[in-house]
Amino acid sequence: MEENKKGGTRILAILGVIVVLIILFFGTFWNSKTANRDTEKAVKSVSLLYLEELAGRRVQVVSSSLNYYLEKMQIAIKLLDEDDLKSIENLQVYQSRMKKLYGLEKFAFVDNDGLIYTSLGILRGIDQYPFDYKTLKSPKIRVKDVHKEDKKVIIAVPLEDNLVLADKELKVGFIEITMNNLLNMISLQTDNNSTTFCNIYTRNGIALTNMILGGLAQEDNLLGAMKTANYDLGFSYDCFSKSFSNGEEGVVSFTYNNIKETLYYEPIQNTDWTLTYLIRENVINDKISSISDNILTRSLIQSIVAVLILVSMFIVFSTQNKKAAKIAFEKEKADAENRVKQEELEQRLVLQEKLLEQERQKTEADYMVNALSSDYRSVYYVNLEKNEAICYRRNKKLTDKIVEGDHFSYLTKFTEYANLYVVESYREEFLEFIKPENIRKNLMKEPVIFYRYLTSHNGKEAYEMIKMANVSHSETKNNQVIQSIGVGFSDIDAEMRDSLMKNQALSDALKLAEEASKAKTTFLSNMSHEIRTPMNTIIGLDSIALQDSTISEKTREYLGKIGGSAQHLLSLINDILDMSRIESGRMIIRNEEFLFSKLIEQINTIVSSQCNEKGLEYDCQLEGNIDNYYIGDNIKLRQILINILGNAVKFTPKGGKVSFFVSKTANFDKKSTFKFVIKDTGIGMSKEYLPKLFDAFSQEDSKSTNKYGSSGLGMAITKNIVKMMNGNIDVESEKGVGTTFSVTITLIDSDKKLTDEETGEIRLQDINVLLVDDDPVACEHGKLVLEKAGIKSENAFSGKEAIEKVKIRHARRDPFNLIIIDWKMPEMDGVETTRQIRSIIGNESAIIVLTAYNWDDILDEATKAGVDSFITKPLFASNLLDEFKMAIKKKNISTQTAKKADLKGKRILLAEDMKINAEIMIMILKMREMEVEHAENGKIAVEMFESHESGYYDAILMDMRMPEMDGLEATGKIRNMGHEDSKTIPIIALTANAFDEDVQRSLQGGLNAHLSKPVEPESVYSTLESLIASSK
Amino acid sequence: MLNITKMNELGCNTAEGLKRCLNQETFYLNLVQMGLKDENFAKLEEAIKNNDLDKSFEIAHGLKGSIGNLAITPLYNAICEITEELRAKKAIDYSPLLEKVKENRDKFLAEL
Repeated sequence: MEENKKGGTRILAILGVIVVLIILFFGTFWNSKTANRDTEKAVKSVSLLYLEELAGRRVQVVSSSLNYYLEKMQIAIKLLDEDDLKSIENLQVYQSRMKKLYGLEKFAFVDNDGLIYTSLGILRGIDQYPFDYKTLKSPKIRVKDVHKEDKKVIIAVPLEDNLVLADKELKVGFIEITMNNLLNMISLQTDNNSTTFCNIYTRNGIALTNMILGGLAQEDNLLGAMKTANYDLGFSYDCFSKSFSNGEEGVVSFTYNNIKETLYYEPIQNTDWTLTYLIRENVINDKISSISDNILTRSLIQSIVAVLILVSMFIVFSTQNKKAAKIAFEKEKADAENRVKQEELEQRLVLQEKLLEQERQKTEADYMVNALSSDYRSVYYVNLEKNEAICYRRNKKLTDKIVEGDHFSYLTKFTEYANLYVVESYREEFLEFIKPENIRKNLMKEPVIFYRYLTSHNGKEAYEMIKMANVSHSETKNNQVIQSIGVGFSDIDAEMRDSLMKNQALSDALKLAEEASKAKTTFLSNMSHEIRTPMNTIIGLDSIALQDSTISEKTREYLGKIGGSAQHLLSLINDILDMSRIESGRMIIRNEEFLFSKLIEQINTIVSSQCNEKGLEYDCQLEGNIDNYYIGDNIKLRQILINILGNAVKFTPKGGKVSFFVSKTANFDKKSTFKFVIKDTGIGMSKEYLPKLFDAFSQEDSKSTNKYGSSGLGMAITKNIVKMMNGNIDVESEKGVGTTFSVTITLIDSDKKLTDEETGEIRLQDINVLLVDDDPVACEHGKLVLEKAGIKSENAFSGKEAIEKVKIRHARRDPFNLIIIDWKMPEMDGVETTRQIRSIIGNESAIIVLTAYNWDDILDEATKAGVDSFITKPLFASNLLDEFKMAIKKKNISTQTAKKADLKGKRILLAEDMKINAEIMIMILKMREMEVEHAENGKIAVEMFESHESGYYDAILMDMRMPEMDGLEATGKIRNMGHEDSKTIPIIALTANAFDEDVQRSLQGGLNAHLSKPVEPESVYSTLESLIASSK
Repeated sequence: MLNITKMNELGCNTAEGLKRCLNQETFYLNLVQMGLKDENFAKLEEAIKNNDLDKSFEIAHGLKGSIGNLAITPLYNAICEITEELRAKKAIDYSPLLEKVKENRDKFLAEL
């Protein structure tokens, strides 16, 4: 019974276990299948989202690339101007330029006859192009040679009506881009694990790229291939082909060649193209299946284990309730495990999304790099810290084996490159440029640095440029040290050569212009000087002729007019010379002390007389505390003021008024600023003319040139001189009302105070002038001019004669105060004459060289020779006196330092037969505490000199006419005596009424000076002082 | 006694003569006296008498210098006249010219 009960329970238990086992197995299977289906659904919806996103982005990239070209083309067409349409050649030049400028492969126009104008020539065959040039109304993007390997994208734009080229109207402009080039930019490549594929198709299913789309080859027509696919529920070929051909956006899932795939397609705007994105579901499904299988297997094992435990529990504890509870527990556990798997799956999805994001960023970055690096042949990323470079783009010409993506040592390879390709003259600088420390230093200053250099590839030279920019991440950029940089190499040969050529052309042009300007200045200068020579004769002869009292009134009038015109012509030439001096930088501003009141007085004298003559009122006012002396260039200042005042007089009609205000406006740093205001009530100038007033050769009314007579240079010279004096000139004017000029000049203050001596004029009657000129007319005229001014003068007709005259005067101790020497003389010119004169008289007289020529070139030589100043021919007394005074002023300074002997205690031998004369002379000499020994005639004098040792006498005063032995003979004997000092002892002749010939003879006889009786004590002293000093 | 006032009255440019003698009146007047009594006047007379023109000129020229120095103007002018004729060695009768010199000299000698 017990046995039976036990057997019944066992059977029940076994049945129960079997039932439970069956439930357990089926439950596990059902559960895992359900989970599998849900996962699949989720993956699919995520994949679709992914496809949509990817396709959408790529469509955008393609569209924007096409728009980019379209915009470039539209800009290029806008740049087309009339000149470009003048001829086919011009158009071709324009097209070439645009192609180069915008990187277009082909840029062409189509005329109304269907002729195609390219930059290389005119073509026929418009029918091969996929647009109708006759009807094109809006921009079109089409594919040419769609069935060929080498497909072209055509972007055609209708043109405005008025583009006419050689009677033909241009209808359409288009560019042609190789499809591969266009798509290269877009980076359509698919991922590496062959899960997703991308391609572009025309609406009728022709592939535009050479990429494969899943199981489809490039040459397969998409629509054709899709006919053979097995479509998933809800999709069909008809629906797909209709939607695709209509250019709609959509998705289709199908099985092709036993591979389950989903295709997403989206049309590209403005084209008849559709971008497709395909994903292979089987890859994902496989993964999901394996996960499910795992779950299933594990569930089964768990179930078996559970059953085993259940059985053993049953065996051991054996209660059905417990078994049931156990099964429920196990089931719960399996559910929990499933939930864990579910979570894992979700995590994977998150990961997938992250991957998608990275892919998107990479695509964008690729696009950016491609777009930015299109200008560069080679592009590298360089980590300066690690000295590591990564190649992004590679110049194919380079022979090293680096390919895109390679990592290599930066300095080694770049140095290698420099040594191989950079020409020697640039190499060192190139190597300096690529040094990390220099890069860092330079990039701190500039965001982008570059260096241009010359390379040599197989003997062919070309200019290239290396450009670097900091590419450290923004967070590290703040870190002062630059870690990584982008490096690009570009070919700039064409631009560089173009720019070098332009530079050369510019520098050639500049050189030419400079030479021309120099030639012009030289020509003007030479011409003016050459003209001045005959002008000199004209003016000279005219004034001599006017002196003739026998001429008729008519002739006098003619001569007067000749003189006036000649003076005017001369002033024009002087203006031109001044201008050329200013232009060649030869004009010098002097800094000399001058009497300010004298300057104003001189100006007033000139201007008031001009005003008087013309019937104008003249008024001069001085304001402010003006000193007597200032330092500056008074002659130039006078020129400025006379020029402006002269203009005021010239342009003011009779009855008007000219005013001259002088005021000291500032005093600083031992300098004084003066404002000179010149105001007139003249004809005035228009506002439009004022800016041109100071231009050379400008005159408001060109017709007035003759009326007012001027060179048009006056104001230009004035402005230039003011500028050279660091001054300022302003003008205000109103037509018909008058003009006001303001000149501001700063002069240096002078400590010099006014003395009576300086206020006094040079007494003209006291001046002795020697005028040296080989031209008798010039001499005669000069004498006349000087005579009129009350100055005595002598003439010499050659340098030699002048020297003789100077010698005699010097010996007579009655030197010329002023020697005026013509520069250009035959045999001995003015400068040489001066040099010889100076060797005789030292610094005694003022020497002024008179010339019609430009003396700038001989200035140094002449000054060294002893010329004090220059004046231009023809001679005017006022100019001469100015220069003379200036020279005298300089002399006063220099003569103070001249050597003078102290006469006290000097022993003089006096040879004089006349007792009274001797007495007087002894008296004179003793007054200065000199010792005198008297000889009654020449013979005694010779004996006395002979009987004393050398150096006993300091000088000899020798009467010329003496009984027994005259002065000349005695001098000869002394000079030839052989005493140490017989050649050097000063012997001074004393004579009454000596003729020049006598003086000359005594000089030749060895006498040093010739004093005329009756002798002035002062001249005896000064002669002895200077002669004794120079003999020692 | 010959003095400056007298000399001026007789037509001398004493200012000039004095200046030459450094404005020393006594010295000047001494020299004037010496000049007027100069033996060369007698020598000149004799040389002219002997018709020795060269010597006459030499003496006259010397006298001209010293009398000129002293600015005894009337006498100086007379000496100048005869000197210039002698310089030209003119074959003329020099007695009137010599007489003129004598006359002027005597005027001053009378004042001594």
